[in-house]
Amino acid sequence: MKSKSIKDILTNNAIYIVLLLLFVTIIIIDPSFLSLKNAGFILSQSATRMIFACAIAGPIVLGGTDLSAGRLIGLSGLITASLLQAPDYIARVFPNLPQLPIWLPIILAMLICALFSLIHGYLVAKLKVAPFIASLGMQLVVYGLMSVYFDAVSDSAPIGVLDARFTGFAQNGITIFGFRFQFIILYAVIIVALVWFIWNKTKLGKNMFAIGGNIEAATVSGVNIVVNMLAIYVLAGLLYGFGGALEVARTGSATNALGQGYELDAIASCVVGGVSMRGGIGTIKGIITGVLLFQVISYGLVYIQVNPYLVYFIKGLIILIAVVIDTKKYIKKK
Amino acid sequence: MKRILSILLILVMLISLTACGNNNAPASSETPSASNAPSEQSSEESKNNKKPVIGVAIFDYSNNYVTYIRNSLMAVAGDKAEIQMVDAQNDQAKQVEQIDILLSKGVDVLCVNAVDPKAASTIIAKAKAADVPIIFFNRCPSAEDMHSYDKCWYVGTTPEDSGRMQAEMAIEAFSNDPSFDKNGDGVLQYVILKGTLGHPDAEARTQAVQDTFAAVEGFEAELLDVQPGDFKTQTAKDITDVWMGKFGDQIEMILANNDAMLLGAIEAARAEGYFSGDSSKVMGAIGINALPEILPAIKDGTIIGSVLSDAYTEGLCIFTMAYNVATGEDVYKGIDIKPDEMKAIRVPYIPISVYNVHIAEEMYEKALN
Repeated sequence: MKSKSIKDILTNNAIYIVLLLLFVTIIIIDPSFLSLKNAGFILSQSATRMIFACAIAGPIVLGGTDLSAGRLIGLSGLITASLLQAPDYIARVFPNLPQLPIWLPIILAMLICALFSLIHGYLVAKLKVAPFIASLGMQLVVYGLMSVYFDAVSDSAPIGVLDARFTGFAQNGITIFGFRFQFIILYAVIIVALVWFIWNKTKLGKNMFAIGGNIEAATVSGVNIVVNMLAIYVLAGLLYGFGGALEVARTGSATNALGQGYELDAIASCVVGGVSMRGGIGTIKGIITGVLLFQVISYGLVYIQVNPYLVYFIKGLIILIAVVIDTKKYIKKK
Repeated sequence: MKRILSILLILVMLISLTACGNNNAPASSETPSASNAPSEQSSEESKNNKKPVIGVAIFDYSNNYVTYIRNSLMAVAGDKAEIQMVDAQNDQAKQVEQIDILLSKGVDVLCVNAVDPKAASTIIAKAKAADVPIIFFNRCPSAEDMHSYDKCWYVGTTPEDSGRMQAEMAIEAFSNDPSFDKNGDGVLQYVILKGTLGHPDAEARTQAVQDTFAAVEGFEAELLDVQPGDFKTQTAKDITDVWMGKFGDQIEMILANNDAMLLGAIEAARAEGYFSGDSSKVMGAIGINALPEILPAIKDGTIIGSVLSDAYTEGLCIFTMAYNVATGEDVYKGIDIKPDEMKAIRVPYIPISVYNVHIAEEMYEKALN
């Protein structure tokens, strides 16, 4: 009995054990990895990824997925970058545009992303399209539109030289004992707290888990499936929009390639953090752990100069282990 | 009933969305021919009953540099020829199908920016069967393929040259400005942001930089790290973050395989105080492409420079050669650059520094007109 429970603990925490081993390996190879400076970089690189993971976790908990997330992030990045270029830069894409307050393009981008997510949610919730296909379609639609916009406004040249207020919004920060706390981390913390509140303290959150866990039971108990699902999708869209704006402010330029594949990183972080791809299960704590662990590993593997091809292999392995554990738990529950 | 209505509604929404996409697309990519067409068409048509039809196969519309080439090509073409342009979206199988379509529509000449240069033999076989000449550009087929068909030519660059020029700029800056040698050891400590692993330009540029450093006598350089940034700003920024954490002030110079990555590197280093006018925080940076976004940084001395790939001249050469063969003229008529032994016109790169930024600015003015 006792040996079985130890085995259980080991299998349930296999993912953390693997990651801990990798972490220890990185430190053994290069002890200088353990520094406040690196911690600051890892946290600021994780910031937007946390927002994306918290956003995409909603559709996943509902039992679906969202392959359009990366492109919506890119769309938001393109919109905000094109509207917030440095006013003294001659080759701006909109030369006659007055200097806008930075919140305006960000809100605009969030609303546009929310609109796309609303359409996506409608396809899934009301028209019962399989989420994988619906979001794949949305991904292509959004990519096509953003590429047309990109080509039209900037002739497909990267949109850079952004307004210093905008890049500062994400990159400014304070340094305490070599640990650089960028404001972007603060925004991530606020978003995470907000999503935690919605998930755990509101009716919408409870309904989300009910729908994801067992949609028939939720219907019978009087949950309005469509409205609740739409709300979760719109929330995801708003967060993609906000995160996309931060991503472009963080990195300083945007093309239509921005955001490509981000949804897969976000889904991987969710899975590693214990969000079930079958829906109904997931915690914010787990998601944040997943994002941080992934970022420590990606940063660490570059730090110790591992062959870049091998990095793909290691990341793939981590995801597979996480999915195997998820499946084992699911079978046990049944 | 309600269900059907809502399906219809969503269809209408999606269709209207894609429809506005369609309306916008020609506005950007085909404006030159569309807007110029009515003005001179009549005189041109009376002289020459039929305008040559030129099929252009682009490997990926979302590639910046090729976009400058295709915009230049459209601008140069004006109403002299009918241009039919297709986008392979980085998919070689799709491109071969598109070439089939262009050939069956009966184009007079093909301009091909191959997705994979190794697929050139397939493309050549198709064109040969239809007796249509080909101008390859941007991605160079093998010499063997080029010699397998007498009616095929190439317009492009010598990829190694951009890496060599980048290294030469680094050597010049390092030798002339002692402040770059921060640790005073006379050795240049540098990092390379490489493009996508296996990409011919990424490999050629990275190798050329190292070869050039090694070849110059009395110059010593130490490569701290080279990481693949996939030619993307975001990836490059994350890599440079790691470098800032690992090497910090040890880095004396950042060399990037393209400017998009250099932009990300500058952003990352700026958070650490570099590239922001602080004279105690020195770091050299050199890119490749000399994109419009990077020019202000070259102008105000934030970075050392970049290497301009002359998209306008490339577009001009492609169109001129295509037009020449379509109208039965000598293919090289009006081209100043001498072809090499594999019938290739190699447009030279130009190193751009604070002293000659105007060359790049003028090029973009012509390319974007």
